[in-house]
Amino acid sequence: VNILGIIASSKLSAVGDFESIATGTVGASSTSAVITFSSIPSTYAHLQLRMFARATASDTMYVRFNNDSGATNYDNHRMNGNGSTAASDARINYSALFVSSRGYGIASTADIGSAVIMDILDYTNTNKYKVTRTLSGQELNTVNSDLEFTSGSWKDTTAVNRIDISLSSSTLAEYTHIALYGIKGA
Amino acid sequence: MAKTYEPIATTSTTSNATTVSFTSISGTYTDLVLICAYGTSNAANNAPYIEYNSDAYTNNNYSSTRLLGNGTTASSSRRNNDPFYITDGIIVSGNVNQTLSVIQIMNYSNTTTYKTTLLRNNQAASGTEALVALWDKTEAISTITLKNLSTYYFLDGSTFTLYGIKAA
Repeated sequence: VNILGIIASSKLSAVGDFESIATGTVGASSTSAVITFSSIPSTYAHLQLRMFARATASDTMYVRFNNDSGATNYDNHRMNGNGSTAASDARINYSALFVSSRGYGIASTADIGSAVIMDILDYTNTNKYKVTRTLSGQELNTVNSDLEFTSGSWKDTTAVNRIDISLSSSTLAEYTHIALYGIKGA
Repeated sequence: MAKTYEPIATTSTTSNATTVSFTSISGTYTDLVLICAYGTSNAANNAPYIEYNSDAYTNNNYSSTRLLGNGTTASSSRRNNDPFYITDGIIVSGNVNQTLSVIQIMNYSNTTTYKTTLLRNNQAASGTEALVALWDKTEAISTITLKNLSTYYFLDGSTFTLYGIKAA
């Protein structure tokens, strides 16, 4: 597995049905514009991204597949709670899947990171668009905290073999840790 | 060769247990996942709560934000310096209709950042809920304790399984 622009490691052999594919991290006092997982094996049924993410400034996270930044290629629906109200909306025909986008964005507060778990279902199937579900949240010990559910679609039938994770306008900050896992089918 | 996702320990409660603890948790994983299928003797909304490393909630190091749907409305609220309740708005009922909580403890062994936890709670009779919680300590988590308020207890047969997930 090839990971671009980050400190990374990979393990291509493991025991079990939930396997670590690769991990991207941002080291102390460093930043990274993007974490990329490329050459993703097609040997799994589903993928899962597990993130402890930090931003240099609170910001929406962008997730793109196969380096596709087409202006209308991604849809999502979002539901969030910010500690006082619950709300929902949609982002249809956008250039990326938005994560932690309805509330206060990926955390930039010192010592605190956002937790993000994204499942990418049936990612190798070439007969249908790719569907994701995400649970993300950042608790800042203040009113500016947020929890969000996101459903996503990449409107392309191509198998996913690359994932790029970036932020709308800021950069991933130190101690960001993003791990990609593969879940085997029977 | 080590597994990526492996069980660490499982507890099934007996004799009206008031607490469940996982101790001496290895720091060799990236994340922890705690799956709880349980009922309690407390019929109120505020169900069991978590303490990490025996840090009592009265030390005011926990905060959380939740999103709840109860079948009629969706709502959101938060807590500062309160117990870190696993479920905070849906009723935890008996053994027949248990609550299922999936607790994701992210980056639990790092010693440079506070610890963030994501939870999903499911109680078919009363609601569905998600929470994000912060323990504002940088120490690695080595002990997880689930407690009940006052004299309440876990109904016998409640199960708690702790898993570790190891990134490459």
